[in-house]
Amino acid sequence: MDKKPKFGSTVGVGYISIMLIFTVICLTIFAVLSFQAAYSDSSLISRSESFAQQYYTADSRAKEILAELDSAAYEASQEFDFAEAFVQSVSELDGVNAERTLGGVRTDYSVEINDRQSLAVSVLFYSATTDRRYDILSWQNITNDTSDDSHQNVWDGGDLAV
Amino acid sequence: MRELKAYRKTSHLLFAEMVIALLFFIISFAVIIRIFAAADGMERRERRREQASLCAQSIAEAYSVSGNAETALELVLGSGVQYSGDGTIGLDSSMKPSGQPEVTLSLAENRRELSAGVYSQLSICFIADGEELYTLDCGAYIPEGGAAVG
Repeated sequence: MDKKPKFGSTVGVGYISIMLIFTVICLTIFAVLSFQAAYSDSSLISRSESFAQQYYTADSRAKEILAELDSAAYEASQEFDFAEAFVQSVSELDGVNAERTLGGVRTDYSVEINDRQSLAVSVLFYSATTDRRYDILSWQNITNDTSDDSHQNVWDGGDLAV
Repeated sequence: MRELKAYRKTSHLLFAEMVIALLFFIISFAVIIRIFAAADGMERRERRREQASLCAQSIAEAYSVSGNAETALELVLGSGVQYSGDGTIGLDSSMKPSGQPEVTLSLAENRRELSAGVYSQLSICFIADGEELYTLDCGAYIPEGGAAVG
């Protein structure tokens, strides 16, 4: 009759090492994943902050130009011909286009936010003296005109080559 | 007798393995804890930076309408904002005014009078632990006739 050995261990040699290595690998993976998540959040926040700073710098510059234009309009309103005097003043400002329209002068300018975006502003200055001298027609972010590199090589709807 | 010797040998091996495994675990755990702590610290710092950024943008928007730094602060932080001796404002981690500040907000305003109105620039700076947390420069133009919000 076979007898079971009297001495022996229920836990074999090597079992602890295997369990420990598995635990350490799991913990390492969790640690690296949490660090990576924090790092990617950090870079996303940095990009967002950077854009906000660029936007508000451009916005501030756009308001400065608006202030200069309004001052020019105020001084032009003292002249005999508002439109003539105002267009003359605006021509001295870089990057500002002035166009005579019905009831006043429309000015357009843009301020670069970054390589890809600009802040485009359009303001109508009234020639007649009313409660206000101007109305902001648009104040919007636009994407800078990119070159034809962005053109996708897709099927234009022409005949298929057989 | 032979079985007893074999058992002792196995026990010694098991004990040695446990000691080595424990040492390995302690060293590994120390490194892993450091990684977790670094991730947690980074996340806390970034969350505070994000809060500062949002608060700065709110102040900038309020300032662009009012053209007045104090009005902008009242609109964003509520009335009764208390300035410290050096003209700064103490804020907690959620950017609310606090007597025990974690973050300090300082503002610098530059006004330029023009013939038709006032153009002004405001520099918003958040400082935490002696380091610059976030800065934002914004501007406002208020034509003569006064601020839209007041």
